[in-house]
Amino acid sequence: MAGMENFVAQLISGLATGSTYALIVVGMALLLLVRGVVHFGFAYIVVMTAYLGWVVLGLTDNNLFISIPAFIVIGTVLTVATEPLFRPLAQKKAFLETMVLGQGIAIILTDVCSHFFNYGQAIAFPRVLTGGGARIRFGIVYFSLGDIYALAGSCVAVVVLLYVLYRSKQGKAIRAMAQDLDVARTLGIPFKRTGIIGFGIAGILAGIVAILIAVTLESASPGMGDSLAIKAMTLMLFAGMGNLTGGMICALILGVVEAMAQAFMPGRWTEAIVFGVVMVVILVRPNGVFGTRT
Amino acid sequence: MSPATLVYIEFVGVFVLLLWAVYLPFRGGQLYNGPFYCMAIGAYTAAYVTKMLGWPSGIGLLMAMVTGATAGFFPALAFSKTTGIVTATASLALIFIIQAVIRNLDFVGGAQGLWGIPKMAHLPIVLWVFVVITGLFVYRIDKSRIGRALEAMRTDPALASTLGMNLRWLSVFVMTFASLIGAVAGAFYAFTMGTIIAESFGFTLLLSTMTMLFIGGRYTMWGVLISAPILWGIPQWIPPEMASYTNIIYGALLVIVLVVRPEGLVSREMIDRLNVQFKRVYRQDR
Repeated sequence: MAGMENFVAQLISGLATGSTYALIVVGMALLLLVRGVVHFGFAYIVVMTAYLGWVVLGLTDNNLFISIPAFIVIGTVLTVATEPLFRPLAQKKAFLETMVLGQGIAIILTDVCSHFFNYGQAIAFPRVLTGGGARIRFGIVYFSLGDIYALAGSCVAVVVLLYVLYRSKQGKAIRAMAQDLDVARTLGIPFKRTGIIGFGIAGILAGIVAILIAVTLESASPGMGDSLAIKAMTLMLFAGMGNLTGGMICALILGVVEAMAQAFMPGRWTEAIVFGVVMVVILVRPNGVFGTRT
Repeated sequence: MSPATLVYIEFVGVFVLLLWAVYLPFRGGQLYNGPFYCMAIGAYTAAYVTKMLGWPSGIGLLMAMVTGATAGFFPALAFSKTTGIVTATASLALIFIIQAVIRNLDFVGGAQGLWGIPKMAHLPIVLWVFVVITGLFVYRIDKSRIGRALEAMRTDPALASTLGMNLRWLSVFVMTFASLIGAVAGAFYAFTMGTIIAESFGFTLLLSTMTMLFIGGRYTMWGVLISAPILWGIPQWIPPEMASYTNIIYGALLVIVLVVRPEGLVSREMIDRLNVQFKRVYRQDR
């Protein structure tokens, strides 16, 4: 049945895209936990990482052994570099202003991408990274290899992250700061160091997301940051700020909804309708569908 | 006066209006993006009325005010109940929605935009008269009980409501009024530019406005009068090769201000000190 095959393939594809959204949401939730900041620029850091990773791929002649770690290192460096910018505001607990700061970082990164890379055109990632549209067969259904990689990679990333957050000493420190900043400081948890570690972990996630985007979407453009950022922000609100599991679930759902809408209901109004529905839900339930905090 | 200078004056006027529109809800602690969405609505209304219907610019402006206030009122009802990040982000969604809607409406040009908007006679004068009138309104609101109520709402909402203020209706009023000013700014923007597209009312506009607001000083209404001319001047004064880097400069300035002097150039303390000096001089003269 043609419809059925297509449906499953779109489902997988949607889950793969959704998992990239999920990781971005998790990264932003982590930054929210550790510093109370809404890092609007995080999605743009991901895009910038993708661009720089593309440069590395070009320089090393598509050497995956160098490039993949490079993505992760770049993501971490970029994210940690923004940490000192947020620190004064975070100390004063000026949360609205952190969003504006994030917007400032966002515009700088977007403009740098459109000015200095590929003359502002979209960039394409090499086949060796994307799996080149290779397909695996499962019965009568064909899956894209890239999507499988993406899904598997995200699952691993999430599991590792949860392990770090809940079992390691640093993870506990981060969660303590999230729960009550002042008490955490009184207990001697180092503000600066824990923050940098939190940003570092988010940075690693950014690098992973950049790889996933290269694998699933096979391209990147300067405008991608805007699209990712608004989706991540509305997802966070929809699910509930700081709610890791809720955010991930909603992200996956969004990915699937997008894939389905694209394949089965092409129309010019779907984007507006989806945003409208999401906005209404947020207004009705400001604490999110799943509530704040995991 | 060269055309470029005239356009500069017009743009500064439009942005001062828009900035005050964002400033008012911010006094109440809300970062509300409704003015931007109403700016798009006001611009398209004014453009449609003057170009498609052929009515005079004044009617276009009036219609923009009507549609802007209406379009601003209904979201305000919902957003008055939300706070902080939720308001900021969900109202961001409004901007995206209106952009998507505009792109789909072919009778106002859709994705291609609307060009050939008739010019308004004596545009700079009319615009700045509106700026002065709006400034008076904003000043009066700031100094009145409403302004103090907004300040209370920003500092400690729980305490404010125990003092008997109806925070909800206060928010609705301020947000609707802000949206109205935004729509007026949009109408004048349409008259100034002559061409409008959905993209004009998106993130770049949001960022430029936030930059001007935060650099000028977001806790007083006077800061924008300094930051808008300066920041609009940047594209004029820098050498042409660097002109496309304007956004990066804005972003960098915003980041620097937020890290080094978050209150902005014109802070509340500065105004208070100026007031004290002014009163001292005034008293001595008597």
